[in-house]
Formats: sequence, structure tokens, C-alpha cells
Amino acid sequence: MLQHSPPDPLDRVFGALADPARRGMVERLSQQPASAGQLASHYAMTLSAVVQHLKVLEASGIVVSHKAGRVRTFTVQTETLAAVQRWIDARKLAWHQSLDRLDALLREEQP
Amino acid sequence: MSQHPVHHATFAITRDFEAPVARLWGAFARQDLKDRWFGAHGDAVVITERTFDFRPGGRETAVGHWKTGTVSNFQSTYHDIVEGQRIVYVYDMFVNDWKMSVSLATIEVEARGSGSRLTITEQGAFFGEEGAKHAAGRAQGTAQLMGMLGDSLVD
Repeated sequence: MLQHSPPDPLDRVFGALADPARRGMVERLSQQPASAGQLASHYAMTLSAVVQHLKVLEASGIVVSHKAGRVRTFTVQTETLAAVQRWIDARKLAWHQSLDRLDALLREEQP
Repeated sequence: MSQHPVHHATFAITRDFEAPVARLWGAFARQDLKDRWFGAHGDAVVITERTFDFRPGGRETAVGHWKTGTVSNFQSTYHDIVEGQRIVYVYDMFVNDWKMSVSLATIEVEARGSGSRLTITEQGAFFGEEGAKHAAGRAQGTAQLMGMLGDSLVD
């Protein structure tokens, strides 16, 4: 039924953001770049689990990392989703979610 | 570069439904039905304010408090309604107290066999994210928008 499916990169972005832990990491990183170890101190999960989440975020293009010495620092890559595109995506996503509910409503038996 | 940039964007979404036009129309025209599908839903958000006045010049509003602390505010005015055919409204979208965008939304419905087709066209003036960063007492706008976008994914 979806007539305008989001392109592949957006699927990855939305997939990456579907996880609440990763959204939390993006929020933290958007305020201040950090290493995996620094992020891990905020979560009740292993360092390797944090690293896995960061890999998903990096693959989606939401964050980028730079290595300086022995420390790899992660930064939110705001250019990946330009502001306008992000607005369009957010509005379209809201519509698609609403229309999924509308579709379910219209499929119900009429009272 | 302006200190207060404005960007313009247009998008369209089309959906086909098995239900006839009359039922599709009702889902927009009746608040009890529209509340069941339109806008913010799910555990991540609580709607604290809602108005619905479906007539030209009438207003529709919805304020949502998200678990992340973000407050979304939809403030809309109906400009044109042609029964069974089209609805045109203009809405402001606020994130916290920052006005994120002003949009012209056109809803068109038409018969499609025994079912119906819905076409939504939105033309928006979007005020960039600099404004969000300057919203009083709030964290950086990108994080808020990301959080809102993320919340909307987990109904």
C-alpha cells in the first residue's frame, strides 16, 4: 500500500533510530562527541554492546568516528540528513504511521 | 546566510484504501474517528490538549507531551472543505516553544473502483534548526528532533 517508500539510506536511518538505546546515544552525542567508553559509563550494558550500537549508527550515517591516538571519538553527522530532508522525513513518517492506523480503522466492520 | 533561514519543501503521499470514499471522508470529518488514527499515538506520547472544529475557518489543535520531554504542538486552521472531495488546511508545528514550520496541507479523496484513493500534498516553510538551538532553556535542536522522530517510531 505504501506508494512512496523511503529510499534505502532512510530505511537504515530509521532502523538505527528504532532502538531506544541508540536514540539515547544520538542525543548524548549531539550534545557532545564521546568515545565508546565514555558512552558506556551511562548505560547498563557492556562496552562491546555499546560498540555494536555505535557501528549500527555509523553504518546508517547518523554518526561518524575519528581516531586520535588510541581513542576513537564519535560525533553526530548532521550533514547526513540535511535539515529540510529531516523535516520532510519526519512529516512523511508521521503521515505513514497515521495512515497505517487509518487503514486498520477502515478495515474494521462498520458499527 | 540569513540568521533566520527559511526553507521550502513539498512532498506528496498517495494511499489506496478498500473502503469507499464516504468512509474515508468520515475518518477526516468526524473527531471520534480521526482521534483513532491521526497524529501522535502510542505509549511514547500523551495528548494534553485537543480541539476539532471541522469547517472552513475552524481550528484543529493537538498538543503532545513526549517521553523524551519534547512537547509537540499542532495548530491548524481549515481553509477549504468540499464534501467528499478535498480538505485544505494550514498548520503551524511547534517543537517545545519553537515554531518549526508552517505548512499548507491539501487532502484529496476520490473513488477508485469500489475503494478510494487519498492524496496528501504538503507545502511547507521550514525554519531550519538554528531556531531550535536558540529555543530558550532547551538542549540542542537536533537532539530534540531526533528524539521526536525516534519516539514516533515506537508506538
